[in-house]
Amino acid sequence: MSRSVLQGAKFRGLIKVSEDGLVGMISLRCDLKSVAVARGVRAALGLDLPDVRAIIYGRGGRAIAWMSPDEVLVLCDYTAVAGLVKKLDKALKGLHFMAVNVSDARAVFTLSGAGVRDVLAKGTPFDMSKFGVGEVARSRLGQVAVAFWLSDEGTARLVCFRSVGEHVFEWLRVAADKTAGVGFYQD
Amino acid sequence: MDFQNDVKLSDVRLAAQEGFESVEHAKRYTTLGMATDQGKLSNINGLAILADSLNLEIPQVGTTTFRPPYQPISMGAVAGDARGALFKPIRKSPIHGWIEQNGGFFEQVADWRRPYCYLQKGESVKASVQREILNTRNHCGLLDASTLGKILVKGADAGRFLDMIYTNMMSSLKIGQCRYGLMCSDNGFLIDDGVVARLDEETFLCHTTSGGSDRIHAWLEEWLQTEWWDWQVYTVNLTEQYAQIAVVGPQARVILERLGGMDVSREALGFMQFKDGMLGGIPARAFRISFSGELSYEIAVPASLGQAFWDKCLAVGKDLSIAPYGTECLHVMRAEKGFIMIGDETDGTVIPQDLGLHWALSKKKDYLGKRAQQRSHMQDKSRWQLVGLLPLKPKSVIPDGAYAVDGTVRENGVKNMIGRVTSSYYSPTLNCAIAMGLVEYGPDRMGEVIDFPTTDGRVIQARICDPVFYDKEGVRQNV
Repeated sequence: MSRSVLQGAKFRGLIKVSEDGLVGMISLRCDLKSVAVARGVRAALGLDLPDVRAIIYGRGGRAIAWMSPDEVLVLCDYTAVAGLVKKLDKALKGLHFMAVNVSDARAVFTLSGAGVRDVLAKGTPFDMSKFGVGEVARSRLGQVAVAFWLSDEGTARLVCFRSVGEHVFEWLRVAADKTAGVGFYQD
Repeated sequence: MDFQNDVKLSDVRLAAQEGFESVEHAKRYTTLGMATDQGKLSNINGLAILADSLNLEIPQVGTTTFRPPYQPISMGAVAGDARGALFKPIRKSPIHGWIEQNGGFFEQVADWRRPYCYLQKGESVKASVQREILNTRNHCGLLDASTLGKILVKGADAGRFLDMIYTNMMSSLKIGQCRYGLMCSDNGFLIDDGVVARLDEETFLCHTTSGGSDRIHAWLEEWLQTEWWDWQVYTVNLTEQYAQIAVVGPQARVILERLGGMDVSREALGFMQFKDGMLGGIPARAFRISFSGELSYEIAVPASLGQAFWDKCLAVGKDLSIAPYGTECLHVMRAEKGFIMIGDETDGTVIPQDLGLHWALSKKKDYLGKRAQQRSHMQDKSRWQLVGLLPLKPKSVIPDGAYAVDGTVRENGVKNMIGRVTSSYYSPTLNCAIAMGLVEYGPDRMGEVIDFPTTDGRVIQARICDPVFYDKEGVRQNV
């Protein structure tokens, strides 16, 4: 019954673009410098808090990504969200924080292929030449806000708001059109 | 020489002549090479001219700091992505696709597209709007209200924070209850309104207007980050996490009872209360709030289940004549009830006092805009204030924005204006034209008839009345 915005739509051009379907996401706002918060997050998620602009991976696709000086995004299984929010609420009880399910508010895409940097560079002002695996960019793609990171040298994951999911998919289709190669980062 | 910044040969020579001999100085004096191409088109020529003017070789002049783009790429790689269907991002609600396939006649609401009405085969827009209103008032209507802003505010100081943000008291709201609130700018003018629900001791869910969610979220963050940085409050914009569907009309409760899973009776879920649970097997938060004056529930479900919930409502309500309605029906129904709309009754120059909303202005606490509202001009009794307007000819709908005149002429030769129409509709419920407007000394002039000259040379006369045209006692929503 549950439907992600593009229901797993795919496109193959200069790179492969696919919508990831429903992905579990928790927005966690807290003091990222607090030892007590870090301890609570570790207890609840088994993950450390990431450094500025970093993403840390755990087991089973779980990850935690830096979003701002007082916000991280937890990625997990769609069905695991409610349980993890509960764990965070328990582990951080008494501290100032907010953990909230934002899975349905977003769309997530996987971009794969050697041209990933070239395609992203068309839409983001972020300097892709210095962007490495393990880093997170909160930027824009074309006209909309996105966050993205490289899971490996040839694969990026990109998150945008659900309401513009179709727009982002169409944007990627144009940018990754077979005839639209730039050959800047990749020949 | 520099086509982007319009720098000429003579400009570079003048720089040298004026003593801007360093290449960095010459650059700043002329703006040579400071456009988006960072001098890729012009710098070499510019340096050559500077060298020539200074009687030096080019290498002796040197180059300015080298900045990206370091390497050329074709313009097509980065230019012109905003065209055709990608010209401007359109925000789409989880029900958007269904609306498109079911006669939705779209209008623009901020970056969203919302259905103005749902056109049935052969139906005019006007007829469609009237059908939706009568159907909702007599049976049951379904509204996609997903675009409403939803901002979660949490922390030990959340109540205190919202007391500053809203003109009325929010910290006293009981858990499980909803309260309508007004927000003003620090200049006292209305900027947004909506229903606040208290989820627990530390957590509030603030609904904003559809166009206001990003702006108001930024407004909250600005105050938290710059002024009250030591208050314990976090906010998250949850607008897109939920599909919000309003089930409205005398049959609304029957529809939800048929879906089953939650007690939505008058006793279990009173007016201005909310409840979490299941409806039709879907996790739901049901708000018993009404913007139409009818028995009404707004149901928030996870966005990914929005379409499923919508389909279920239509299926169980088929024999009860359930039908979707659009934004114009929403607008007419709220005007019949005298409810204000941010952007109609307000235009950035209107304060709550102008709209007779004194009841929502707390005397017990401070709030953003309170001081501004004490300035002499804001207290001026002659400010244009909200009234209802009933045209003497019941079929004459006053054009939106029409001015009222009193027959005198100002010193500059312009007709003296004493008010303007802010909302104007034909009400199929009351079978006559209705309007709201801001009028000089308005509330003191009940029963007076004033003139609205139209741009096509007519004069529509309307009687000043109370802005609540329908069910003033609120009997219909309170069942």
